[in-house]
Amino acid sequence: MQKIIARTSYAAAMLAASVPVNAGAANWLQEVWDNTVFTQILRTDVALRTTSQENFYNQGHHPYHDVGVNRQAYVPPTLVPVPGEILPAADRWVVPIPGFSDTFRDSELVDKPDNDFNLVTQRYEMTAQTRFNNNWKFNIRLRAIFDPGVYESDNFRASDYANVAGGLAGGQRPDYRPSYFEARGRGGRNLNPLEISGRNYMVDLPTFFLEYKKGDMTLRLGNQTIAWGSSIFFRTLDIPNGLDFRRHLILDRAIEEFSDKRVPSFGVRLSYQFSGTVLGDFFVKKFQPTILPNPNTPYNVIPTAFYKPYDNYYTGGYDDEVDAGFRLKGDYGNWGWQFVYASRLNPLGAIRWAEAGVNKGVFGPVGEVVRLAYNAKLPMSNPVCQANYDPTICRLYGSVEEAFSHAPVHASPAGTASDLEWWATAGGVKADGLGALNSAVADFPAIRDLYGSTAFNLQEGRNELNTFFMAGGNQGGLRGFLQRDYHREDVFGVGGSVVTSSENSLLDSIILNLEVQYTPDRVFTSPDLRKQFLTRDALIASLVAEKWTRWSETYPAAYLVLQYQFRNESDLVGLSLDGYGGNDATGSEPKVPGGIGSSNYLVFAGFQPTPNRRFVFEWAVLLDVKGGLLVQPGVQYNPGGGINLELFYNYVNGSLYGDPTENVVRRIDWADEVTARFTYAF
Amino acid sequence: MLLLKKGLNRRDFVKRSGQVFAGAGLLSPLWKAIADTGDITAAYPDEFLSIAAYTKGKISPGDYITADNVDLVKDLMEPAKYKHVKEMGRRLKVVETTTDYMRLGPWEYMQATLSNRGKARFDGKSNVVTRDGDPWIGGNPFPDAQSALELFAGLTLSWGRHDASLYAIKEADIAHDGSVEYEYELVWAELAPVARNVIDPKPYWPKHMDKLRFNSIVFLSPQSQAGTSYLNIWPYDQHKFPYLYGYIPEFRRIRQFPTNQRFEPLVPGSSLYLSDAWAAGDPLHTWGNYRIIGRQPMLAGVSEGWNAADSNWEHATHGGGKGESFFDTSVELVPEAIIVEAEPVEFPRAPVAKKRVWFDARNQMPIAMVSYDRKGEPFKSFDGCYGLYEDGDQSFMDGKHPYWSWCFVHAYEFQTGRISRLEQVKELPGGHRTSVNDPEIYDFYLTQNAMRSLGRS
Repeated sequence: MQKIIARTSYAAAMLAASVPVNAGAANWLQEVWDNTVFTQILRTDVALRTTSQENFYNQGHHPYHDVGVNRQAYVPPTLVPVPGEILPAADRWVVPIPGFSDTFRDSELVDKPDNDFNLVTQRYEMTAQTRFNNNWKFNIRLRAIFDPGVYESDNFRASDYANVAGGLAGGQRPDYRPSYFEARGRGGRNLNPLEISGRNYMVDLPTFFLEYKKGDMTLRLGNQTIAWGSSIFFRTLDIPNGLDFRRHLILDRAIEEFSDKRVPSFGVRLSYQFSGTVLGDFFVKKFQPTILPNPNTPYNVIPTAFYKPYDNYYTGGYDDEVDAGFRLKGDYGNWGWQFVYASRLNPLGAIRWAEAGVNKGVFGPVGEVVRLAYNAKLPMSNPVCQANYDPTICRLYGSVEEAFSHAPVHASPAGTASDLEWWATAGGVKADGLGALNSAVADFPAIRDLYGSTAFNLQEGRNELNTFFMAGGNQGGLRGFLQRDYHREDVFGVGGSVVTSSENSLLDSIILNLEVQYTPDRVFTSPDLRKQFLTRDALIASLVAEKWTRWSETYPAAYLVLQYQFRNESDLVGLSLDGYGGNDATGSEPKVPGGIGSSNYLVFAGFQPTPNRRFVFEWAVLLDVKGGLLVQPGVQYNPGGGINLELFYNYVNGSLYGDPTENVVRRIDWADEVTARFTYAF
Repeated sequence: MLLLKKGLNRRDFVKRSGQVFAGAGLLSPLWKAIADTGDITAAYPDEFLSIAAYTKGKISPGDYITADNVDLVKDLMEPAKYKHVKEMGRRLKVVETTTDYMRLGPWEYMQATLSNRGKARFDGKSNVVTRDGDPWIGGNPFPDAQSALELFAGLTLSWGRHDASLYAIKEADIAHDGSVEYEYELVWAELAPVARNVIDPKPYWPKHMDKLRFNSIVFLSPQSQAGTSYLNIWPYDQHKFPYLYGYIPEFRRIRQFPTNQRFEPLVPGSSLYLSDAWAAGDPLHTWGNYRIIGRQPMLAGVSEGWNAADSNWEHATHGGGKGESFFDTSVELVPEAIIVEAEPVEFPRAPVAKKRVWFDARNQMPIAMVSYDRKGEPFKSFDGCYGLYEDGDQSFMDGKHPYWSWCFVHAYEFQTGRISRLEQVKELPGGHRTSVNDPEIYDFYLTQNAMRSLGRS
């Protein structure tokens, strides 16, 4: 039945794609049918949590969720018209407001979910290849995934909080109801054009291209992905495509690398075998961004202190942008070289504060004070304000609600409610808590209009933040708004490979690959989320040593790979290193991140098949030399009959040694889990 | 029949074999007979051309060798084939011995062998060259091989004996209980840039004169392995390992592999290594201690292997626990098989300590192989069937002549009882058709660009 459905769908797609409607269509379709090869798989993935921790970016799991945090409101410097020259404390956030203090405990409002499973998905894939003749063929891969929603069964539901602090209003779809697969730009359009997705399902066509092959040339036209480089897992030269993190983040079998993660895009790819030794590869394609998991989904990486970031892919006109690049690769037996260049938009993009765009007020006693004071200010129509805008006496907007619509935060139930939570959240995503506060003040007049002002030290920042959070109501807090934009960059890459030759069998036949990527003026998210992004010359270099070695006469050769990667400006996922060294995601005394000079990663991975390859034992170890460790042992069992079983365990330790805020693994320190996969191919 | 006339028993026959292959009994040198008449009949006494003579009429062409009568011909079989028949239900159909030399290989190759006879020599590095020191020019360089090295040199120079071949192959891997556990569809491509007999430019492709062969294997199904491919580029210098590149579907890209990993199962369940190909899957001088250890008549599949009755040339099976372990096989009495042994001297941890290969003296193709593990125990055995692709009025043409090639092969693991059986078929889904001497095989199957195109996308 599955096959019939697949064939019917395929035939329909073929017709829709290119069949001229005429009398010969039926014969043509029959010919297409006869020359089409189908393969299909059904795959079940289940990941069982093996640690008491859960994703600390999701609602109910931040480190202060069940901690009573004392909050005290302070007099905003711009509230009282006393010059600092007269009363120095008056222009600082140091004067408490008597009677405006409380102890906030998030768990009184929001339950802490307790999930046994991080992942339960059912996947169906169908590939079809039609060969029209020796030169032309058409390739399709359809991927359909269903998540029954086991993870969300007892999780945060936004609808339960509609009457608290005005409910969760605004933000980009999908909102706070966990949506496992929707990936939309600002305005609601799908980021991927060949994808249909909803909360629990996605269906897409990662492969949908026409291929023409003639002599030394291969031309592919359509939706496709491109994999470059020799490093495994390290994407030093693997630059054409962004990644889709919706499907198990980066926690799938490491040895699979990013084959299921690369974001496909429409384009033309031309491969040309210049000689037996030099292969050229050229592409021009539509820009497609990296896709981030949604809020409150199992592998979410954006704290729920924020709404899902607005993606300006469409509104910013990035959907009209084109990436282009080429790679030349020469192989001369025991040595080789490659050269890579691409002009592209960085698919990860850069994030900054965004205007909320939603009229929403303030709550609780502090909120009422703010409202009263704000309403008492003179409107901008007043000549005094027209002559000289002073946030102490003038207001830019008609109401607090309108003012907050132009601010990057607003009141929200179970939003960030204390300064400690703010700093933990900032540290978790390698942001600068104090800087983020001050950039919100600097970049958004509405914040200044609402009595926000620069905090000159951590204590002032804590005081200011708590004052604002208390304005979110006794059960509220504030939730932030972010937006993502994309920036063009020129990426240059070179690589060389050599195969060793030695009398010592351990040193013999090691394949060494050195790859270097250099990108001048790469744009990064600034750790303080300011509108002015960071721009740095980025260098990434990796050294890969691969070896196949036989330990015994009985067992086939084991594959071993040892890799090292150096990055001067970014971490493994592309974030600026300036945000490292701040607060710990699981809570610590507030501090300003000092950044780290470089990131350095080591990988040791490999697999050992048993005779006849019925079993393959795998392992992958990622060490961030700053003290983070990800270890993934696993086994594959292939009993034949189209069945494949895989079992692997992710051991994640972000505090192996050193300062945990300085390694990338800490970001997913909650992700210890055992994953089982059952695949049936037919 | 000479044997019958003389009333020889089997022991007498074996003794006489020794006399014949020592030269005392050959009626005429084999190669003189072939050169003079194109037929081998004049080279051997009748008893070496007749299974009926050997069995005193108990087995004749058209009969089947089964467990009931296999002991009559035990000395004409390698050990695995005997075991298959005696214990595992295999049966072998006996056909007439092929005496026409030109029916034992591709026409052009056989012609080149005849015309280039005597023009080959080993150079200072023991590579086969012409008398002028150039790469070999086509055909078997040592058709009347006098040494084991010459036999393997000729085989290693040209596996399939065509300038270019694309074999569409179906593989089944069978457990010891006879059940089919794994099934694969794959293509195997070979192309010779030197010693070419058909494809222009010939005998050399100038820009690749430093290479001996392009060879690839591409798995098409099942889905878990689809797109897995390996490309071997063989230097002409037979001391050097082939450069090995692989397209790994999980990586979606081509990776280089160490060149000396040639004893690895390529896919789950398979008994085949790259090293096993054509009984000479590695460069000539990565093996050593070549030696001829004997000569004997053999029962082997060298004709009538093509199943024209099936539209896709697929073979019926029988035997084993489920009736699926062995292809229906025709064997003929090969009058002279040269038994050669060699050791993998450049593979320190190879699971194989030596291999024993039976060469058909007529065309110097391998007709059986047994490899031995490091303990000296039999490890794997290979036997198959060649043949002209003609049957009555049906034929598959290679230019002006019927195609000659291998038709199927069995690989048997002595210690586990597992069998991998492969057959050459007409076509596989996706338009992969068996073809010969088509220069486009290079572009479509034998470059990195081709591997990427064939890989899973």
